[in-house]
Amino acid sequence: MKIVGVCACVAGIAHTYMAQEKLTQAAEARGHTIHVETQGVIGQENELTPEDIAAADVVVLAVDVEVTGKERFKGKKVIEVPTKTVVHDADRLLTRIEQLLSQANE
Amino acid sequence: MGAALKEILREENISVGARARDKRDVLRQMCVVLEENGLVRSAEAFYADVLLREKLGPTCIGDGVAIPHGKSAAVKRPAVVVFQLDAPVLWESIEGKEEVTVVILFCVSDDDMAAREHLHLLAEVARKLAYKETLDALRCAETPGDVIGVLS
Repeated sequence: MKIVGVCACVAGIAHTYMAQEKLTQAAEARGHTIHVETQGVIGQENELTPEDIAAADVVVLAVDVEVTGKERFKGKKVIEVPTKTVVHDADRLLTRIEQLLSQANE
Repeated sequence: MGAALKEILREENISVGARARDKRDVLRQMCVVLEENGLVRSAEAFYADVLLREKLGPTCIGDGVAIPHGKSAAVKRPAVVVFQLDAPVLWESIEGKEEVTVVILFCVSDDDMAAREHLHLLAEVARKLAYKETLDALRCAETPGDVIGVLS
């Protein structure tokens, strides 16, 4: 499946980037395509394009704070979790998302 | 990029086999290192900002590693301090408290724009911490040089 995501933590220093890496790692290991934007202390990076978002099956927000540009995901399936969920077990989160999407498609 | 990473990861900010009574003791010692090495204006002021961040949520990332951090006006230059402890201390994690033997303290100044390049490097270090192999290697490091090797 095609996944887009946004990671943003409280301080925007460490968890944001760890979460980005973990989510990407776990998704690719499960054979998904993924693009993850970060909104940290450096600002918005690896920004999602409208094309990325349009093509995505699901949007994963791993965020502890309000993120910029949430309106971009209007009408998409959005799953929002705190960054710690991704940092501690990205694989379990992805399993859950796969289940949710397959149920929705039945 | 290589030269710049050396600026935020210095042997003088890394301690292998450090001793500490508890979490607060580790953080206090790390802040003193930052002050002694000229990276923060005041160890106390930075320590207070690190504790503020600790209140917002757990910073133990599992596998015996914690990543406290502070964004503070007391910071002169962004840096990373690493303490590998000879005996574990308890640290707040997603599931209550966990034993931690490696503490990586990220130190960020208030002025984001000036520190931009260094912040990218800190983000690079944070991304490396997403890999279990990195955390395992940090716990097994024997010298500050090993720690730098693992994080670069």
